[in-house]
Amino acid sequence: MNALWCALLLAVLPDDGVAESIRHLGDDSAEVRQAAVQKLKAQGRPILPDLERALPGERDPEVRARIVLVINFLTRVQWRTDLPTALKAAASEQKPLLVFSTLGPVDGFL
Amino acid sequence: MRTVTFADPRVVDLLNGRFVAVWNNHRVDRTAKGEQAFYSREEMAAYPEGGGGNNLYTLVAAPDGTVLNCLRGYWSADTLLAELEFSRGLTAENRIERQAARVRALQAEEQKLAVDHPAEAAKRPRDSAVARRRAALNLLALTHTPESLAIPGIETMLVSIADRSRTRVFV
Repeated sequence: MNALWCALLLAVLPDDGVAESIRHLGDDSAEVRQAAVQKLKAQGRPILPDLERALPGERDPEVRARIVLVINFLTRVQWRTDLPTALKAAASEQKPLLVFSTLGPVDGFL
Repeated sequence: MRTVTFADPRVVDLLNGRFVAVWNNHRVDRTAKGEQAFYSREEMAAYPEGGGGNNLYTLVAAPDGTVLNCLRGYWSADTLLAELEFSRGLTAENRIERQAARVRALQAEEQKLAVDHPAEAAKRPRDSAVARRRAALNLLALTHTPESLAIPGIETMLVSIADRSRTRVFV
């Protein structure tokens, strides 16, 4: 889904709270599901308790997976692993780079 | 760093919001997954900052890839946040001058600890939080030398780090 379409959906989705956005995570439309993910991400850390409360009671495994995706986004550093792509992003967003260099990949631990 | 410093909510929010964060594996020949060690709060408080040497590098670079700051070793969330705040004021033009000023400030802080807490400062780092902080400040000052910025480009710097990590030094 392109960014413009996602932004349009974000604008038209009613702003009626986290519960409604979580409900949209199970929508039949992939665009609505994606827009709901973006909307939850945009609300930041304050919605974490709501997401963590919703997780155990959610029966749909796909919705659970999307809730976990949002929780991970809000609680973990969003590491990139490809330096050339990161340099392009840094130049385009005019943000500095933080490069952590160590032994092993980002998922290199059991 | 991964499970403590980079899991700190303040660090997560700062990196996700204000930086483009990159994880670089400087030993791609290592394919086996390692066993993640977990430390209690008390163990982490006692862990010496600056430890880890050539295994851990935290680099800050300008959007064009110019290296602005280079830290070696493990640093707590509080220390890293202070360093990132310092780094945000650095540019390719002022980085050498400001690094020199940073060294002076760190040395002054270390000397003040020694004056204010002489008995604690004389202990071994493992036995005293003050002594650990002094050791950390000394190591931190060492990372701010002009030599640490001798390689200006992030890509070349990472190649140099990878080469260094393969070099064994026998003394």
